[in-house]
Amino acid sequence: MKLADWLDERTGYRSILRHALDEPVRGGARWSYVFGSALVFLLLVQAATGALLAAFYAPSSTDAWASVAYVQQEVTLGWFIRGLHSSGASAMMILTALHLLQVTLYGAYRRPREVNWWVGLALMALLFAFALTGYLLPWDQKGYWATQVATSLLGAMPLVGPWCKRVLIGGPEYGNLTLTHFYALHVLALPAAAAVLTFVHVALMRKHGITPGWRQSDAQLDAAAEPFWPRQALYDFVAMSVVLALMVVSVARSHGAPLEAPADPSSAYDARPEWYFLPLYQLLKFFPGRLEVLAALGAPAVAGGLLFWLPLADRGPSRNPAARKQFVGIVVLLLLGAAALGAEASIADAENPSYQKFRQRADRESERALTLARQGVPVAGGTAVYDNDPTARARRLYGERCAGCHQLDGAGERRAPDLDGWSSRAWLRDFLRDPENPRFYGKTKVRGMKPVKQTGDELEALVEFVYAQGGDGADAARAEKGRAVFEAAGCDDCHQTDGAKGDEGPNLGGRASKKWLHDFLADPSEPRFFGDKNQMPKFRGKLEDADLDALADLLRAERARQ
Amino acid sequence: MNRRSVLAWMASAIGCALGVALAVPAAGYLTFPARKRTVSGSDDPIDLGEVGALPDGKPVRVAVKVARWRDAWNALTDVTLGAVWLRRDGDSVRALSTVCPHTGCAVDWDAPQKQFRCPCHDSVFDENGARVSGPAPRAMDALDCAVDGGRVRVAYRRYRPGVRDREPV
Repeated sequence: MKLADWLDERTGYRSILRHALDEPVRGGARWSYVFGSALVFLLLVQAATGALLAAFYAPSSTDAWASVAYVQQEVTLGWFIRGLHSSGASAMMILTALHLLQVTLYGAYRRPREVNWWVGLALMALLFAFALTGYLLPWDQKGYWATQVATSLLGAMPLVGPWCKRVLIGGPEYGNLTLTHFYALHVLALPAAAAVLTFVHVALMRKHGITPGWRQSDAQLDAAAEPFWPRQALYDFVAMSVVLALMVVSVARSHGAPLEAPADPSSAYDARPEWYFLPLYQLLKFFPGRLEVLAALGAPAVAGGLLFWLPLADRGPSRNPAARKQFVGIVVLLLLGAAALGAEASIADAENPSYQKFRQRADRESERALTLARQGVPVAGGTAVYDNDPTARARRLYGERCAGCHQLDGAGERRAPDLDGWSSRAWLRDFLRDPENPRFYGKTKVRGMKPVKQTGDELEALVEFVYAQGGDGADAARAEKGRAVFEAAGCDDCHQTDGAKGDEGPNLGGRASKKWLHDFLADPSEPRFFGDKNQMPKFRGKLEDADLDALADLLRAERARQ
Repeated sequence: MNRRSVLAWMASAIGCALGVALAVPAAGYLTFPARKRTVSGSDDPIDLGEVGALPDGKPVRVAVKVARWRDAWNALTDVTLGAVWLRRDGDSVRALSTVCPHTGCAVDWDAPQKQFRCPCHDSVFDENGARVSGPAPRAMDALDCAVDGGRVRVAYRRYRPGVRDREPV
């Protein structure tokens, strides 16, 4: 107690607390007053989760997606914090609509509270600005493309549009400055504005008192008045708990906010905004061409203008909603109209099979990118995550190192054996019958092998015997038969099969296994491979083991072809 | 208890519960780097070049580069982790970390005095890295160093600064 006294003497905190808690609520505490408090609570949740996310986020076009993927998959409860932040935004939209409706019903915007109504409208505009700027920050496909639509509309504004857009996105195209600008807006400018406006909003509410119900007389209201603490506070806390609980359940069920594949400017993406922008998105469909800008900027302006005008027009003697039907009607119609447009957009998408197919593809892409991101994202960032995919890396390596001589999937020169279906049964069969065909070793110095004369079952057995050297997938019995053919036909005069010694022809032991391929690519001129006849470059020292393995896997995939 | 104090108690309880419900996951999230390695690479010795390139009996500062490195979300290649002082005496090579065991500044070689000197707080070490004077609590950190096929390999480690006994970070 002593410490509290000491502190109170120096700060006067008790009177501040009393002032805050003993606010008289005329007519008594009500459940219908909880929306404003719940919104303040959500604002705090957003500030807290936002600060947590900022501690692990990098606003650059190379790092943004990777850092969000890291939060989502690696950081303890990162998915939960991010999910809360995202569902918090949705919850704020819903509660703002409810708050707006309650205030309208009670006539709380009327004289003398007009200014506070306008401050509230400004806060609502800020909410949309928060959503728009926050959406881009993960730099994933959805955020990237949805925001493209928004900034394109800004750029299509007459006269100042292009200039405004350029300043906002920090140049002629999206890039690092777009993210730093949106980030600065989202975490510094908008929160500062929201803090000031929220303070003014609450202060003005305190100045005029909460707007009580319209049924009781002034005398009745005064008689039923009670302080904010504890009953209204309890109602508010219960409302906050319900909101938070719903958010937690929704986050737990969806395992947080989705993170799509990294932004890829070269992709075709069917962009949809977040649900609270769907009404506007749907509206754009009705206005073709240049009229689109009119709808995109005009519709919010008309809606905002109507709401702004409300307290100036509604000046009748009664606060009873029945006596103010036209004004209540405007707000209800606006909200219903928005809801209808949003629902129409969702239904259209749900019933559009090509959009659904696109969604499935986008989800698969996202899953693939997130899985690859677990290995760490290369510094080039974003889509460079796909380089982690061994086949993607192998194909790039193939293009750089192999395509100069070998053809695969229609790419590359034909100076050395084609690699399509390399060492598959079909390839081996054709090769054995005509080893010096230009498709095989005809254009190289690896020559001198006689075509195999065997046909039918004997040929198939021989093919199986060679195929079996590569390990998995072979028919053991047939391969054993093939060994007999191999020896009977005198193949073993030139080819050893112990995987060690060299001879006239390559040693076939372990041929086309992953290890064999790795060693072969490292140095094809080893005696057990092509020896003196080799013309292919050695890749030992030029490629890392992981790269050799990636190429080996690429060729093993050809071997597995039927 | 009257009705008002029951309400007050309930409101306080729910208010606190809300705070705790948010604070617990927040604490788990923020302390993630204390539980998991956020930067990592291989612990294998790192190649620092030809032993023949080192002068005899004179420390040389050599940057330590690692081929692969994980830094939070990034997978990086050829990352400079720090530097070591390498000193060759005949066939043997010794490696000292350049990180001062006091507060982690970079220790310099004072050629005329034949001493290592930390520019931040004037800790002085002799040419073998033993502490001579100044606030450093221990000698410079020696690193495992081997010559293999004519190339110098050093196991690069960082140790906790400011304590008497060496403990890896």
